[in-house]
Amino acid sequence: MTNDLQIRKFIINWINLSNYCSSLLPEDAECSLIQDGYIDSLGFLNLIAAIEEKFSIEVDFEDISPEEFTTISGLTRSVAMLFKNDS
Amino acid sequence: MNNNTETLANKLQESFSQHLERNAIYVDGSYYQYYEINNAALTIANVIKKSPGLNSKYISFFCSRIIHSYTAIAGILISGHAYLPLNPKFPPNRLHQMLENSKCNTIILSEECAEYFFKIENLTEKLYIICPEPGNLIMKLKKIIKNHSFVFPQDSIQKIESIISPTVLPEDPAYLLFTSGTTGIPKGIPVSHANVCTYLNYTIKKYKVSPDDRISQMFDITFDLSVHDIFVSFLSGACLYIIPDSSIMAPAKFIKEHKLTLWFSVPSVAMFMEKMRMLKPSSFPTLRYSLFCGEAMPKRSAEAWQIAANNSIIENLYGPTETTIAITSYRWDTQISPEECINGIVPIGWPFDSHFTHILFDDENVANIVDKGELCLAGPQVTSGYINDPSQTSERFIYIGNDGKRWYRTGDIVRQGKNKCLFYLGRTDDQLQIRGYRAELQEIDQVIRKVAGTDLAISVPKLLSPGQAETVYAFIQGKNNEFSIEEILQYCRQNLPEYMVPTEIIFIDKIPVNVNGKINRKALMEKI
Repeated sequence: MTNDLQIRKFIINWINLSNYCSSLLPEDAECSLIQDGYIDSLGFLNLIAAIEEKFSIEVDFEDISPEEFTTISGLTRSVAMLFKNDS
Repeated sequence: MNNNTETLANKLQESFSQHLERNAIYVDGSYYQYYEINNAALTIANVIKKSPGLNSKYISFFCSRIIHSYTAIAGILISGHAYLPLNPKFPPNRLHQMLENSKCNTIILSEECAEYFFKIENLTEKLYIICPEPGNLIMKLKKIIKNHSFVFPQDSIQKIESIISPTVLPEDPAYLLFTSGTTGIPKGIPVSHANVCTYLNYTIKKYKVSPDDRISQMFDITFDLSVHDIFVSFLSGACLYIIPDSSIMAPAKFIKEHKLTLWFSVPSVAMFMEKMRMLKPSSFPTLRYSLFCGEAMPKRSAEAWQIAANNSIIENLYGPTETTIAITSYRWDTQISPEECINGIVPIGWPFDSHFTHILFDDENVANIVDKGELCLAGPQVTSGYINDPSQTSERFIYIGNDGKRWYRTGDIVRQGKNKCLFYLGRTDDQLQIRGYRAELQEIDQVIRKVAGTDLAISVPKLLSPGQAETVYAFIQGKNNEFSIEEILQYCRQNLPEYMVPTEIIFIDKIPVNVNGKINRKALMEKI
């Protein structure tokens, strides 16, 4: 069972292990990943690919605005929603 | 085509007066009608005309994509001057070079950029700072800063007067944009009224733009593709939709909500939206035309976009700033275009009406046996050259043969296929595009060499495709402990736009050289 906390941890760990961000994101970080400069748009695509592989899902953000899915909590919610829609 | 007497200023005033009651701009959740844009622009133009001292050829504005940027552009043009956009995403030293190089003494400053503007150091020239909507910060700065003069339009202009545009000639500049330069100093490209009117007349007619159109605006105003958005819309009485920064990489919801009819972006946006599964069948049925420019367009992005924008004609445009916005185009055809792509890249097509292409081969004698060479362009959109840089101008703007045509050497390698269709293959030099922005690697090298105090420093792109990079790495010969990485990166951030700042600094025992003793950038590229 995948829960919000697992998704959130995965996102933060992935960013911290990547070369995109010079400072480490704390576990309770709340920020806009692209606008605040933690990651660029290509890095974001790589993050999405990693999420898809890890959780064996396909993202579909057709009706979600980027303001939502580019924040840590918004991305967590958007990914969690995909599990709910599947079940 | 341009009839040789028209200017952007006259065309703007004519269109504004015809569409006063229509929506002109949607920005930050509000609509502004043409009469509001006209009044704000006339206020700026009145201030410029009536204040002694505001007399530089170029007048700059420093705002993000907020309403004041668009009214500043219109006001500056109507006053008979040319506009120079400054970008808050640029580092202070670059802004300083742009102001100095253009000898600009007047700037329109928004409250949101005021603090950052005063980080530009060593502004020795007295500046006239026009503040259309001064807030607390500007009023505070006015008290502290004594060497510049602040102008408040609401104080100095009691009554808005219509302006009879002064004697602006078609060959006078309408705007000035800077691109990356090899010497470490950005190159200024003035674009004349005749250049830009030729482009706009052709484009508005070709895409049948009308007052009912709803047009996207997502390019930074320092990127010349924004000139297309703004003036195609303003001169047609259409409505310009400013896509907020937060939505810029995936604006699917914005396109649907506002029922946009004309789209213009870099192809990466289509690629990004496809990966986010935003390009579903008939997602954007209102789009009539979708234009892409600024980087090589992958076939896959064109195919995916066509499925989503099912009623839209897709065109891939190509053009350097030196030849005004775009100068060739290729119309995507679902039936035949996939076959025509080379290496999965959509062709750049054919030149616009009244323009010419020539392919320059290294050796004219081998022209019959090799099929690729450097693209040169001629015609009324070709600009006059670089400001204060006769040597670069004569190097890039040349005469071929005796027909009197002046050609711009693009530095882009192309192949000409059947029916003379052009295919972009890459660059002749170290210039490339990083995430759609044009950049010279030598400019990055110069900055790193200066701060590191060594000539053995070199930047290397991480390429996505020929001429297109995701990011840049820098190699320095020496040991890690001899330099402060943070100091080097900090200096880069102060002197280069964000996209040109290296992702990583790598120390290496010996920078590889080729047989001629030249630094071997290719060997370093294999290390990243």
